[in-house]
Formats: sequence, C-alpha cells, structure tokens
Amino acid sequence: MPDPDLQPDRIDLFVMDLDSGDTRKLETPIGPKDNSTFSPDGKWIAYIAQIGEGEGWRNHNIWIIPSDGSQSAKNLTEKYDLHVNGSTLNDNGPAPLVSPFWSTDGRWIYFQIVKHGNTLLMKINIETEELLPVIDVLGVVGKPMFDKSQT
Amino acid sequence: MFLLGQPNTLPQVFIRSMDHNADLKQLSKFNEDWFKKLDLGQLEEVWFKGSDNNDLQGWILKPPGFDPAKKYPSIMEIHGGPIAQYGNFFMHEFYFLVAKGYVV
Repeated sequence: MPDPDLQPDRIDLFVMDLDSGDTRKLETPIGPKDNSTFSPDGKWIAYIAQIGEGEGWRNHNIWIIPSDGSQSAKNLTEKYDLHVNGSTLNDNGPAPLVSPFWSTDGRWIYFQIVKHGNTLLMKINIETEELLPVIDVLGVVGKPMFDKSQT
Repeated sequence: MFLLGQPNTLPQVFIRSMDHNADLKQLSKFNEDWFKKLDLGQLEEVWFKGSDNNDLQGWILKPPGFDPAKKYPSIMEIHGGPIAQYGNFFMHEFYFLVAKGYVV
C-alpha cells in the first residue's frame, strides 16, 4: 500500500459514535476535503472538496452526504462555475472565513465564494440546487453570521 | 452581521436583514477620518481579451494626482484565479507603489 503521507489529497471523512467509540468511514470521491459541518438534524454532513489527486487548480465545491452513509456524496455546485472558497490575496490577511453553515430548517447551506476578486456570501438549496446570492456587494465579505431568527 | 473590506477601506462591521435587497447598515467606521485625509489614487477595473480570446479581469491603480498627459513607469502584478486571486480589497503594497509614482 502506498505511503499515505505521499498522498495528501486522499482525505476521507469519518463519523465516530461518541458512546461506543466506533468509527465509520463515509465513502466519498478521492480528493482534498475540509470544513465539514452537520445539518441541524444531524442527518447530513456538508463539506468543501476538490476532485482528484494533484488537481489543485480545480474549483472547490460544496458536497453533502448522509451522515449514516446511506447515499453517495452529492456535489451541489458541480453545474456552476463557482469557487467555493472565500480566500483572496492581499497584504492584510484574507477576509475571515467560515465553514459552510446550514439554515435552521436544514434546506439551505450558506458559504463564501470568490469571484472577480470579491468574496461573496451565497446559499444553495440542498434539494433543488438553486443557487442564490445573499451578500454580493463589491469587496470582501468576511465572518458572516446570522441571529437566531435566520431561515 | 459580517465584515466588509473594500479597496479604499479596511474591513468594517455591517449588518443587513435577510432581505437580499435591503440596505446595508455600517456599524463601525474605524479610521474613517484618517482615510478622508488621504489621496490613495484612482482604482479602475478593466477587462481585456487573453491570447485564447478568453476574458481576463484586472485593475489599474493610478497614482494620486494622475495626469493623463504624462508618462509613468508601470509595474504589473499578476496573480490568477480562481484560487489565490487578488482580492478587491485594501493592499498596502499597491498603494505604496502608486505613492512612489508608479501605475500598478
């Protein structure tokens, strides 16, 4: 078996049962992935990923997978030319980034993207994959957060 | 609530209702008085065609007191995207160079 240290893009997701300590691997496509977050009901995990090894030029996408592993992972942003990462270059540090976060009803996921130098906040519907801007002013949007009434 | 940084200001705290078309409300105005005293130069977004006829985006930052009749030395700074693209954000390095008389 190849040395995993030489394959840094082969990142897997695991779910651990806190009572038993049992660890279960979720089957996801090969590629770097990070910023995983549970849906409010705990049934889904959203994460950000690229596809493939040594394919660091590719857009990052939003994926979801049932936390019980009962369905394949689904790339929600595949059909959009969208880079799901809010980081841009400057000498002040990037706009503070947040992991994707879920609406309280679990239907939408909010996330930062970069486009034409701007960092924007978008949302996507996990069933219809409808993509909508939330904050899309010119500039870099950092550390977005909602009060408890958010939907 | 969110932070918003733009080319001519460091990030400030803003709020907006969930209505996408609602106005932003700016809560903090740190350094606003100081920025009013500065001439940072003129920033202009430009689009042009690349060698494969694709659309390329850039910005031109002109020195304070720019005179179109004069010739200026120019520095081109390149960083592509979508990963690690330059941000539409305050950049000390670029403002330092235009303050020294370069078009960046």
